[in-house]
Amino acid sequence: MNKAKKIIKKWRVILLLLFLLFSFMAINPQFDAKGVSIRNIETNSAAAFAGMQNPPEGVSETSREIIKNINGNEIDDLSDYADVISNIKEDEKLTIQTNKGEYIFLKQNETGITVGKVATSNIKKGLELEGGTRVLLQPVNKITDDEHEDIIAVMRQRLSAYGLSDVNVKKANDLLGNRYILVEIAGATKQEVKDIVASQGKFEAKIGDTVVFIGGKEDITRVCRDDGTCSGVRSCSETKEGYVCTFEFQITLSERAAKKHAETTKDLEVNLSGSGKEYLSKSLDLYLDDIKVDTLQISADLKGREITDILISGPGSGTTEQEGVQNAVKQMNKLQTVLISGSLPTKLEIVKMDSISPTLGSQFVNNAFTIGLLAVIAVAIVIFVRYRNIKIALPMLGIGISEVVIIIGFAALIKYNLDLAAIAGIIAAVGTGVDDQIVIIDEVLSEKEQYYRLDQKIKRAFFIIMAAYATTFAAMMPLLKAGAGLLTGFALVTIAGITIGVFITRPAFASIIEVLLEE
Amino acid sequence: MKTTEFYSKNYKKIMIIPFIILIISIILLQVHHSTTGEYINKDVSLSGGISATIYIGGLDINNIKSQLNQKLPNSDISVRKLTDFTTKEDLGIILEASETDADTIKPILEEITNTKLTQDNFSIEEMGSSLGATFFKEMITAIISAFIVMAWVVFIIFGKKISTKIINFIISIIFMVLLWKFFLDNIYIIIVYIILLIALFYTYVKESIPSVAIILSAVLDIVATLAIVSLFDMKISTAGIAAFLMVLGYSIDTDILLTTRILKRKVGTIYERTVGALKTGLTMTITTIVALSVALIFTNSIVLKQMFTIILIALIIDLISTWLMNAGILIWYYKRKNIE
Repeated sequence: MNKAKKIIKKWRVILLLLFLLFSFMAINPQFDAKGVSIRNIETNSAAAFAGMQNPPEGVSETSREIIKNINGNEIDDLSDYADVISNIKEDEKLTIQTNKGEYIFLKQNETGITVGKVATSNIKKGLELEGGTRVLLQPVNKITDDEHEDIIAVMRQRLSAYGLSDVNVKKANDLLGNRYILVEIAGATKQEVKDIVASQGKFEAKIGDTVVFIGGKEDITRVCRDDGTCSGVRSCSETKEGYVCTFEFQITLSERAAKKHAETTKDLEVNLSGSGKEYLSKSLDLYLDDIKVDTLQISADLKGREITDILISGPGSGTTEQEGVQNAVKQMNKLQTVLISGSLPTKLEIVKMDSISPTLGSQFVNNAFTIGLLAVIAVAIVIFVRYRNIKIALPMLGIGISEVVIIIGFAALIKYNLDLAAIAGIIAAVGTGVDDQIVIIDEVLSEKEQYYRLDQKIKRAFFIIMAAYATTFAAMMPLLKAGAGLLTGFALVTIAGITIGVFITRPAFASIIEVLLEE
Repeated sequence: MKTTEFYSKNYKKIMIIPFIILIISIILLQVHHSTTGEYINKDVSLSGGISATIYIGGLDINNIKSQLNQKLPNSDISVRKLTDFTTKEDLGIILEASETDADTIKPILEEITNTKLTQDNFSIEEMGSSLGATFFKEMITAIISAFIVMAWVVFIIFGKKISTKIINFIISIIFMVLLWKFFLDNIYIIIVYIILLIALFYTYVKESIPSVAIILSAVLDIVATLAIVSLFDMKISTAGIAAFLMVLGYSIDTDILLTTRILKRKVGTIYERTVGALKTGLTMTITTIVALSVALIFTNSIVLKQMFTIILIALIIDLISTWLMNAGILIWYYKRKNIE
């Protein structure tokens, strides 16, 4: 009893306990995780007008807003949510209760809310453990730092304009000076993502050889989407190969682009078409990545006028009418997306693309826990067999587990995704930890050197530990940047783990052993 | 004490074993290089291609493999079963194929298995061959850099003169900057590397034999493990190469323990100190070996499986390199120094 008191009073032990407490708060485990968490609120949707807000960027998993109740029905999980939402008719009143407030609005075809599972903790699981899509892109030409930033910004905007939430777009450099863009999309994703991220998205509208306007905010102030009155698939017709459907959506041009249009059209001749309508001699040609997607005739009364509203159209084809409509919608989405986000400063090439099923993810997590536990038990047995002293084996076990908790807490704090490589890093760090503890114990127990005091022995043990730490640290440094950032997790967790080990957990272990083995 | 006697009588002889292992390993690697053109076999994460998992039980591996071979004659294809270790349940298959991409192989697999492959039952990772080559280059760069930095850190701890430490730091930095800039791309730069390495090695030998012993021990660990890995035709992934970096860390731990105990302690004879270090070192390595073996048996991830296998092999080699080679060199060095 006395010894326990003595241990608690050691400042190294207090420090360890503080770190454990802090990690626990960072991980923030939730034991009562009911409801669905809000991932995204579409701008201009009914939900947004009702005051529902998009989760702020960088929000921690456990502080997302959670939907608890809709129209009096308790929402426990995603399937509850889907059931309730699908049973509510068009234009019916929706009363959504969350942990932060209550929102009331009328249901229109889409609610504009994207939901996900409620997080049980702040631990972010990597792609291998959760499932999703990862695309690694490399610019075809050399780019500057600014262009790299631009690509990331455009890519983010493009993916959110495309309606994907839970997207992570990151800059990545490597040891050899190559630059990459890493796009990670959690959960199930559609095949078209590949198209969206890889195309440069250079949109040009030309009359003759003159570019009248291009994609992006400068020239296009508004793109109509998700509103049936100004965007949609308008008609389908049967052809020899199948069906061709035409989509249409309206865009609003900026003043500058409208002036350009007036200037370019004012000297054009007026022709009479077969149907008796008057058109200008040159048409407005739409190009996407230098490929012509459509040609629009300009009616004669627009000659020399500063028009701001333009109807963009294009085709989509398929073997059946349904397929034709689907493809037209896809094409329209893509075109709308690049018109909103503008073009990337350079062409990108997909160098790696992974699509990982969520199915095995949870199995991986459970498996990692099992092998972690078994490995710890195995180590404890070896230690007990070697020293035949429970006073040594138990603190070792405790310290090992604390180390894992603190490393995971650190990962949660810096919002780092735990993937398989990071798990390997945790194992490596804890393994080195056990090695160091053996060094401490053997120094303390060495009978030959009786005339050294206990604290001197521990000091000597720490010389070995610090030397080993310095070399491992040095070995891991180059890996922080190697492999386009895909191994950063492993290197970071290992470095963090051994650092936490030598500065926090091992000193505490030494203090505990000191007290326990005192005569 | 028998072990102390063993060390006092045989400390020179025991060094022969690790040196023979080193030479055999180099020969094995050279043979492998001359037959395959590479020192190690790279998997698709380093050479380009796809690796896919189909989560459907009861698939016929041989049938899938022969059909894939027929349809993708240029690809190198391997197919494995994925089973749950605890329940022995057949979960599906893992396959790797070079020289192909996701869009090509997915429809073929759908046809063979006669199922629509979606995100619920199918994972696929695609690696461009140019990126694979870049990754490999980088991992080699990372390992060589780690070696150079580590050697310098060891020298800082056990070396003597500050001035040499600073000079060696500068040489190490120059070496790494050149390596990251030019890699091993032409013969002139390789000559420059060799000159720099000789300069480093010369000062290390002249000033601190113990540092050289530690570095040699790490070299043996890496080279012998590489040789064993290539002997078994294991295909190394990016994570596998990361495991080699972990090996460097683990290998050095016991060497530093031994060196500190022998050179910086005064109590007991040098043999008693060596045996004391041996006891501690063996406990360290055995706990790690036991923990890794347990993890290796129970893990269901091929990434972790490969990492654990490589570290296990290296730890066993490390027993030889630390307790036969490094101990031998240190005892021999200590005796010579004390006679002088």
